[in-house]
Amino acid sequence: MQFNSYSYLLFLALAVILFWRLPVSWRRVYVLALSLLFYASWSIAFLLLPLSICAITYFCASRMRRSPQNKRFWLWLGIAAVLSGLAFFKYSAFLLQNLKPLLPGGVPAIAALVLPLGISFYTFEAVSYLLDVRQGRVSSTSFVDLCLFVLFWPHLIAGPIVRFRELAPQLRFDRPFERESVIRGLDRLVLGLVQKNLFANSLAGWVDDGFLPRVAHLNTFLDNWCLAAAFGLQIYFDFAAYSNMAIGAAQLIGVRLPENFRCPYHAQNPVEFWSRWHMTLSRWIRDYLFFPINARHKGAPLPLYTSLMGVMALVGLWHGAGWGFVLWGTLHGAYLVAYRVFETLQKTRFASVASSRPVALGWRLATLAAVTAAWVPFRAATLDQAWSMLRTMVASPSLAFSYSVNFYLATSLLCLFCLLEPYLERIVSGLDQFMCRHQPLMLGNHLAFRPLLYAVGLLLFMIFDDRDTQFIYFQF
Amino acid sequence: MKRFAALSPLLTPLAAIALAIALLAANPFIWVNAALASVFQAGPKEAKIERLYQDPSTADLSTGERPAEALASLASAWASHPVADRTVLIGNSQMLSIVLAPGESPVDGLRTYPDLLGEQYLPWASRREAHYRLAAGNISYMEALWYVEYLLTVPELRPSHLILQLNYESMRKLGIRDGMLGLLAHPPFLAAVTRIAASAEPHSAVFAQALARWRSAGPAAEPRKRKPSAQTAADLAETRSRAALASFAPWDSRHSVKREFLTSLYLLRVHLLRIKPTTRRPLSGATLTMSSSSLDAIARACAAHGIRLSVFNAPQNPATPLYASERDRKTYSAILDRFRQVHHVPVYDFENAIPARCWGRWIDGSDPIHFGRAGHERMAHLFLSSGILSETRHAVQ
Repeated sequence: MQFNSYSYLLFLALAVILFWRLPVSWRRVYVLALSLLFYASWSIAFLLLPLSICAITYFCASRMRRSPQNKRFWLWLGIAAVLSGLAFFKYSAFLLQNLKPLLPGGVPAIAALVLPLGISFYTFEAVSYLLDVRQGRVSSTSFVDLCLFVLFWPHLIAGPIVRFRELAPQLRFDRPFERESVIRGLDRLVLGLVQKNLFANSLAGWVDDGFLPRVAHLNTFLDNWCLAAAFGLQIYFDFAAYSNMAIGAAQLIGVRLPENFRCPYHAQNPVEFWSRWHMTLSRWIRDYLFFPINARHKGAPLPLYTSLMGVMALVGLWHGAGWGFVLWGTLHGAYLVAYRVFETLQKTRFASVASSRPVALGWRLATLAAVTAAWVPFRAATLDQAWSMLRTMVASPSLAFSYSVNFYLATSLLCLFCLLEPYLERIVSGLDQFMCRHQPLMLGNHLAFRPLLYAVGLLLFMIFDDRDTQFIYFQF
Repeated sequence: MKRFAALSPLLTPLAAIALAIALLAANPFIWVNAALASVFQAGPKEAKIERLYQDPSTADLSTGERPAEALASLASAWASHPVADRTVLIGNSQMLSIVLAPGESPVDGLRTYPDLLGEQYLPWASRREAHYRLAAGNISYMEALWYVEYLLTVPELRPSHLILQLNYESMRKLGIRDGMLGLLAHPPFLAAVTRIAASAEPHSAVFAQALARWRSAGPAAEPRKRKPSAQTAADLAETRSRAALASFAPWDSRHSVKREFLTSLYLLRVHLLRIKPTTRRPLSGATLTMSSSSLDAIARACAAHGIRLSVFNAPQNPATPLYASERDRKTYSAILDRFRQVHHVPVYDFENAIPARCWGRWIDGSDPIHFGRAGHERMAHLFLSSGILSETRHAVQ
């Protein structure tokens, strides 16, 4: 069930109503059953995979607790076993494709494997659990707790990537019913529906046309910049929509999931971009990969820069098994390194100039342009296509345009929306707080203002509904 | 108050659903459009004739949205009444709509020029001639090729004469619309599209994309490949949810609400941003290359199957030329010249055939593509006098 489908909305409504009617002691089993049902709605066979990952993780974690002297062994065994599933399903085809020239009998049948939904997400959650157990950050856990943590349906398919210690206390489901929490959940749910169906899907057709292989090299300078921006907006609204709907669904049953996006295109520099974009993945990479790697080097520049590039290339590879994703990650690694170098120079040599407003504005614009350009290899079908598009974006300035004027207008309109997003959020939140402070207005808020907002959101969701459009991050 | 506090999380979504249903039923964008039209007073809403003459035996009345049904009934009609000559006209909305010029009054049942040709000018020929209009608004030349390939795979539909409208605006269009994907259910056509998608032609990418979209649409798209048992539980649940909603009248009106909403956005674009249908546009990039290669493929396909191909350069409103620059005009002329020379196809130039006074004026202002009643009559006359239908046989009745 897709989050923006009618069947899911019905499932969610029934699930939430029944959840709050059930005694607290039944809720854990109920939510686990719902989560299994949710995943099984795509494929019962693939349900074995997350369950196996839970079983392996549970077994290795128990061993780590029982025999502290072998902790290291059980940790690596667990990580290897969990990652082997990801490697097999996600990367084996890519690996074989790249080894094709060396294989005498052609590529074996393994290359045609279907990627189980959400595998990249729940694998990372299982790995984080094992690392947390190894470092003593997680106490003894039951198998049901672990299954609930990994399989909890709102974050199962495309995150946010949670940590056991932030989710486990909430999985007792013993919080009393809070009206405001439910209303906030509905806010996020409706916002997500609009972001997906109106914003992301509206751009999808134009982006698909513009990135068509074999002809993308004919695009003009303006075409390619607009296409890169349009894809950047499409993937942002698509993924932010999913995250909002996940956070909203969890909030409807009193569970708070971490935020995943915070107006990423408002970032002042590349480092800040990664604290605003897919925040839970950034946090995972930082805590479980980047910090451990760099702990030994104590900030020495060369290892730091090398590890930044390497880690970001891995982030790219996590998104998909293709060289375009690796290039996207590597470009971001290069941006981060460039900013680190600048920061070092700022501290040592050009403190006054570097902290001036024009330089800050320059970084902001450069970050936006660099992030936008990096979407080209992420979306392009081949590296050749990405290269030819990037070359035009740099070397052939022109104002000629080839596509429908509506494409450029829609992209500009959504850019404007992104620009105003934090201010709009502030206005809505301020209005909300004002209404909450005044009892009569609160009644109006709950019975008129909010229903009207939701109704407009639902209307837009329904009229822009397209059954065949999937979330982009489902393929990761 | 306490009771309300307990109920409000339930009342809020219920009130929202009730309001959403009310909005669907009321379609507030109709009022928005009426308000925009009256504020800006660019032209009368009635100028675009909604109820034109309609004959399913001579035109795809779905205008490209469901051509599979239209062509299936045409195939059975043509199979049961074989005729010597079958002419198919392919073009954009100029062929299928009428926007009245200032001074013309709205009347129901008006005929476009293809209808005039069939119904008024050539009644005597109907026993041994059949003609059919395959027009769609904003048609791309990839879609024109899509149609041609389909006609070639259905023996009952294979035309003896194809008349293709060339249009500057259409050279800027790209892609295959969802409604046309239904034609892929015909296996020989699926094979033809698969072959084109795998070729190295520039337009092959569009065909590959259309094929992928059709396949990803799942069981509804490929009934032969996927049995109901192969559908996931999620698919089945969604199909049943939608079937239940389909019986609910307001939900069914969402398409018209969307249409009006998009018209609101369009009118805001026209009147506030001043980006009008008459705004000049350049011709460049991938769309131009793919359009040219599609035209070449149409000419090659017709030649290979012995189909007479005639091409005409569609009329443009002389008051609002669309060429962004002289270079664009020359590029377009070069395409016509090249087409004539390379494929030895007659190209009739009607670009300046309709005088400025005959062109439509609607709520978005002057129309660069659509003309009024007199324009259509003039065009029908021109079709006969120019000899595009047939150099020798026909004369104006």
